[in-house]
Amino acid sequence: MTEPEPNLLERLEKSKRDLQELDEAIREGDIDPRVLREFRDAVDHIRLTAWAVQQWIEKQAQKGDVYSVLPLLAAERLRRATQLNHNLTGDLDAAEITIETEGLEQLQKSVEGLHNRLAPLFKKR
Amino acid sequence: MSESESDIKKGIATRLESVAQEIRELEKAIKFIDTAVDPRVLSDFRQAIDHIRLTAWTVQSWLDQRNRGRDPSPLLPLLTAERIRRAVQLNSDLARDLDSIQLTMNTEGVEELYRAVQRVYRPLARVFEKHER
Repeated sequence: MTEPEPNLLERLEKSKRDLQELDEAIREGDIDPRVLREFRDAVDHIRLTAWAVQQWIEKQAQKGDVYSVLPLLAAERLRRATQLNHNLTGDLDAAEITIETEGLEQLQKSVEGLHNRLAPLFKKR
Repeated sequence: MSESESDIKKGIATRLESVAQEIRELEKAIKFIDTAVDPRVLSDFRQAIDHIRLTAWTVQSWLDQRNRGRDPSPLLPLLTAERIRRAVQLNSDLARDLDSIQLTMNTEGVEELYRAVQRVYRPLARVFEKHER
């Protein structure tokens, strides 16, 4: 393994701080709430994944359990997917998504695929 | 536009530029740790980088259009398309996790996901039904 970790950890820390400041500055700007919401989601997303990378590197250096990071990331992935599907329902209800919207067919396939896998789990109950 | 508004926008633009530069550097740095960090962690991190890059660009473009006295709303469909792209990616990843039993009905949050998928399923099907009529 090459050794850029201390540099990388510093960079991750600096990026997290700068994103936080940017997030605060953007709140004062005249920006559409949907753009703002998306930006804040993106900040949360990078903050959490940067934390996971940091944790992984630090635990590896301390010979700790690196895999303890994975369930937290998996839970976050679930939360994000739930939120995204929820937001898309709102977009569909508000007719912001139409048949012309790019990627709609792939979205339907992915939703159908996930629905087909999840439905039997909950029908058994 | 008042002077303080203009200052705020300039401040945001400068910070956005600086964050964009940091993201480019982070991307370069992350290449060095490919062998050390779990691929799932790296993949999530890369997706987050793409996400922040695009939304930072949208914020920047929004402010630029406003400064030029133009309507920035044509940017919104791009954001929606990106949201769809991310949902497709996440839904597909989670479907794979379910196939490989990394995700089960006992996983915390999976029932909320199922409810959200059920809710989006119906209006989505309606869009295609309406089109086929």
